[in-house]
Amino acid sequence: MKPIADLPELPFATRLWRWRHWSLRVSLPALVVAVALSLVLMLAMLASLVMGTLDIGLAELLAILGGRAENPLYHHIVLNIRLPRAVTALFVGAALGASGAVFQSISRNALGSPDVIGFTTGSATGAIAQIVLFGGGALSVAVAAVAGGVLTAIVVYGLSVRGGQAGGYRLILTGIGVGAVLAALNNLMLVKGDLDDAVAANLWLAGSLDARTWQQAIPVALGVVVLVPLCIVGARALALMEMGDDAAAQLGVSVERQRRALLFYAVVLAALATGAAGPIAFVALAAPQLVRRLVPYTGLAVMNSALMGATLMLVGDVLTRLLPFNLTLPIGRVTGIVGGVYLIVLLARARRL
Amino acid sequence: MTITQSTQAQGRLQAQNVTLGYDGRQVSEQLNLTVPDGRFSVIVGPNGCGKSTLLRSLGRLLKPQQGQVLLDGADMNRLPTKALARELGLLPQGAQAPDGLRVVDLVARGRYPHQQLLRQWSAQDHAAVAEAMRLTDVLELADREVDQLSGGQRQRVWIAMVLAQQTPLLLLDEPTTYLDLAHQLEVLDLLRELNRLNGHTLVAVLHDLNQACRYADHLIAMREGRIVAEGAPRELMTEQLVAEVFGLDCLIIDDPVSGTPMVIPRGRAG
Repeated sequence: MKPIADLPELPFATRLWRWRHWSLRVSLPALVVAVALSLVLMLAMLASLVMGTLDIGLAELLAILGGRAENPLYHHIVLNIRLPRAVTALFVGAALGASGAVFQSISRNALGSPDVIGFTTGSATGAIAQIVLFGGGALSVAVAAVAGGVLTAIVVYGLSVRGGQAGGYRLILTGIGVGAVLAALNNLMLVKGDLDDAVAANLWLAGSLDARTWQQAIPVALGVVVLVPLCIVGARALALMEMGDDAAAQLGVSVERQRRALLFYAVVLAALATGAAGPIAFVALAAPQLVRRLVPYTGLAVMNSALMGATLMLVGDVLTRLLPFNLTLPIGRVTGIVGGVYLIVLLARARRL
Repeated sequence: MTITQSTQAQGRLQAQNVTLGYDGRQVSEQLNLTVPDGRFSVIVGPNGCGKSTLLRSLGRLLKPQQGQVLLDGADMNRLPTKALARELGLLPQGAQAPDGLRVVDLVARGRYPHQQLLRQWSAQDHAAVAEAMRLTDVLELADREVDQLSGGQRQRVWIAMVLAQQTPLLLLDEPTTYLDLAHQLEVLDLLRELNRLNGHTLVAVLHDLNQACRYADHLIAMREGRIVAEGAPRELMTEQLVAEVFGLDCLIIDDPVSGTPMVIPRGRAG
């Protein structure tokens, strides 16, 4: 086309950042939300480390974190009990939020979250099988959860592919079906298993941050550090695929390859989260939806969904520990209650599903 | 009977012995087609005759079961997808704008094949988006959400997106659906202008035979998966061909406005 002299100002939703010949498009509201969420996260992190049966002051906390602890008991409590718990909450939430964003984009539906379409149930199947059949240590349970999630994903994907393409309702409905079968299988294992194992498995199924050690925290943290950036890179293609496979393919996106890769990252993220904290309901569903209501849509908000998921988990954990009468609730049940209500609101208000 | 009036035109885009279909259902067998460069080609034919299937295969959205689609002599399915997307654009049917996406941001997505992860925007990108929006007359809709627009406005926005892609070859699958008559002509005029001024090679699937005759340099008539005939409308359009392709008994006169062939149906062919 012929060049034109005067270019009209165009009201893009994103600002342009240039440096030499590099350029990035950044949405300002998204940036504001990211900074705000990060601040809330830091505060919640501090609260989580300070709070507990033993009062540890802020000054003391900083001394411990700086490696200048005077009291070895406090040192132990912060570094081996409270910190792993907080880190687990943080990365489990981030993993679920990012995973939910990717899944909802691929299925083009808010309901296409890993917790709704059976992938967390599949992870639970792996974990329960490990606990009931082999008696699981923390690490082996986590590995079994990842294996269960990935296997479930392969089955659901395989069943929902038609003509080399997956996605949309087919993925969701297949996932719900497979999830139902797996949920029944989970119950069967609990009923048939040894009583002690069944109790242990049931505790795990509640989804909890109690008694998390670095053994749970590190795998999910590593997963987030590696996979979330990959999801952020893939999000550009994924956002184009929301316009339809044809529209994205003609723009040069290798649609099915991208979809498979991102599904894989998202499944592993959800499975790692489940392996670390048990099945946590609705964070994966709610985090991307909350972000979408805060930031005008420009593309797929993986980063903010991860931050939002982390905030939900960490703040949720701090709040449940503040409940009166020592009413300690497992976080998975709390997110289940709160998220369930949110889902109903979402369904009632949805223009289209 | 196949009356292929070969025009022997130069063509960058060619289908060679392609067999097309979906999941075991075969739509076309052994098709051959050379898209003439710098021309406005239109594919016509009754519903379900394989027009869109052929167009999708030319736009590498459908991989042929046999045969090849060639761009400059190279098998299209082996070319890097992004490089191909700078040469060949396709406006698909049924593209959906995500909830809340605004017009200008949708048009900007057409620049994707020209961008990289860390080179997301350039002056050329801005110029291409502005020019595409000016041509399709959607500049004043720039900050509206796409899903709030009328069908006609939305279609012009989608066309703006593929124009922003700035490909020398452009395929359009029923670009005039959802549009009222005035907007249909506006879109077709725009396409002709692109073809005449910039030398774009265009291929469109159209339903309206008279519009096809008026705007096409080159008509491709299909029936039951086969290319029955191709050539300039004036040479191609005969009462016999319309009967053969559409099963329609008709009279062909000169369009009093454009002088191109005009089909007046009498009724279904006995």
